Amino acid sequence: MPMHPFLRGMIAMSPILLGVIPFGLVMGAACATQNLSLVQILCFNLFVFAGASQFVALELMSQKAAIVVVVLSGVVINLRMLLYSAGISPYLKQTSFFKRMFAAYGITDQSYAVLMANEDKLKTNKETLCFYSGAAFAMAACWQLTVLLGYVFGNIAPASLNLDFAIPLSFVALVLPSMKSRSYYLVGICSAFFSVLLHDLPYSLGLLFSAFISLGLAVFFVLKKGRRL
Amino acid sequence: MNEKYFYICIFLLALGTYSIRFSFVGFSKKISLNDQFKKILSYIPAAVLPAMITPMVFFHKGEVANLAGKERFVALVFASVLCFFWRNMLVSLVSGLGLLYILTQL
Repeated sequence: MPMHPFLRGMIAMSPILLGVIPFGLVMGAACATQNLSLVQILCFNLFVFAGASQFVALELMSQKAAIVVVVLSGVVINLRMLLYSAGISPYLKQTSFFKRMFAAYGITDQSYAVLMANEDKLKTNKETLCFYSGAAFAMAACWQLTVLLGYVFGNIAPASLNLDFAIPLSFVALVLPSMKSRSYYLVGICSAFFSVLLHDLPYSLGLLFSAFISLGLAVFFVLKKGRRL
Repeated sequence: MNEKYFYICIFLLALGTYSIRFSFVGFSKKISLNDQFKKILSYIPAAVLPAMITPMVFFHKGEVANLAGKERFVALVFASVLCFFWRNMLVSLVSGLGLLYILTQL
């Protein structure tokens, strides 16, 4: 008997969760260091539910950055979810508004990556949606649990392991498969270069500027290619 | 951290993030995207994520004098090269954390 697609989604998600576990632990421990209460950390995690932006927002809030800077930095980091939202929308054309609200909540780098990697094995929209729900559920459960573990027990791994380094590493593994040609690499290098160059700007404004400059370069590449065709 | 400040930030960030997630999913019946726009969207991770990761690693205060305290950057480049060929989460984590462990413990 073939396995239920929801379960298959959860199983397909499990290797990626390896990158989520250390991230969650580090995030939880960081929240504890900033003396967030349990209610605060639950609100943060359940309502925002986007690790990278939460990490940056927490850092900025601890520096008492202006609200507009905190929110804008977090939102720019999460802009990539526009791509994911557009990517899964074709599977949701016949779905009710209510279900689409849930599907949107489940959008993460991880759930999208797993869906795209298995897209060709899923036959109907319904099966795809079920598979995606399983993957998104596993992701959400793992994130919430590991952040809580990190919050309660602190960073349990020995300091010599440098577990916080797992955060940039897991993003490398997420961003590389999204780069499909030389122009993607150039955009990536441009983004990294400017972020180092503009690092001294206050409140992570370097992140905002680098992201926008690189997006500008991306627009340029796309328009240039479009004209040639 | 001031409670009011925290909740205002979180509320707005949550609102912004959910709006991004819901954007195309919510209005998929009404809008169809042209290919050029989709192409631009596909560049977003490449444009945003390196700007987030690189300073975090490059400006990390390291401890290995021979590498001018940049051992994390070395490990990140190493892991990226391996990950380029294998495109795998486990390869990235094990090679990066492993090399960093060796560099800092030796």
